[in-house]
Amino acid sequence: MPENYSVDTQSKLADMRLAFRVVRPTALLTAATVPIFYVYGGNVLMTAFYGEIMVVLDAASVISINMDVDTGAGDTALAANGADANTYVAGRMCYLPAVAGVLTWTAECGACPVNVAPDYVLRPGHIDMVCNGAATLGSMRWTMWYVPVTAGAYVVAG
Amino acid sequence: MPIQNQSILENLSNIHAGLRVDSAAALIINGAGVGRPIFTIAGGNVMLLALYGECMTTVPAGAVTLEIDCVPTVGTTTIIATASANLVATALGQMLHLPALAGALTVTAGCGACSFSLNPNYVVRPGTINALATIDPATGTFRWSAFYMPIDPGSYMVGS
Repeated sequence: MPENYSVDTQSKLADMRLAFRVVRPTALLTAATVPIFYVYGGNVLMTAFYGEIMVVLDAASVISINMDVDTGAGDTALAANGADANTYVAGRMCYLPAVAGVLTWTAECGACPVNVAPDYVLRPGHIDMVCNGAATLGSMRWTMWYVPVTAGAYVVAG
Repeated sequence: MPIQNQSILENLSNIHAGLRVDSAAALIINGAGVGRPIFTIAGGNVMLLALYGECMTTVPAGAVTLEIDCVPTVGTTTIIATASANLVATALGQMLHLPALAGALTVTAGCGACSFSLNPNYVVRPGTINALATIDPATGTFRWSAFYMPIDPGSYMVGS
């Protein structure tokens, strides 16, 4: 029975089924461009990504997600500006859209789809969360899954 | 040559399909608008990979549809499959499965096969997954299986 598997066994099975999970812990949301994940050592394949509100956002918070590569060749938008998340309660989540879409928020708090977006090959650099707004109290955490493409490539939280 | 070792088969199944949990056959209910909790999520978020139901006892006459709700312990409910077609006269062996994003719970036309991967993978927060019928029918039982992977360390899902 799965519930009898050790946490370690379940974690390893999840790595095999979903890919490696990296969590950017809960942090205050500020009106800034914030690197939330760093890609080092070569290209990786990102298989899923989502964000979760942990403390209600208290003011205008329009968020987009960009991939900023180390070569300085310019950002790639993974998700354009989503809806203003002002007053969104803890538990609402956001996810990447299909190609060339906007960051999409769940209407409620129960579930969030994570593979609406394609898998993305990411070059070395960082995934930026760009927040335009004035939230001072709200916080979010972010989670992504990946596998290395280039030998030795990996992702760490920002 | 087929692999005969049960442990290996189970682990391959876990890796390919996800960890399977079952909910025993039970009457579908409205339950004052809450429905029947068929799975419980505890310990953190999990990734729901697939979910299907199987008719074990035919639903009697009278209009009844079914939807699937994720009911978090904290926060508001997300409907991951809106109301199905009328389940009246659904035969033993007909199955229900999750739709593509924002679709209706889908009833198979026959009893032989059921789509497994039309739905996106869902992050599901701690709470329950409920099957909510529009009425409380006198008969009409379904059993359910869900396939998942933990996200937060120690998170898990069990049949209710």
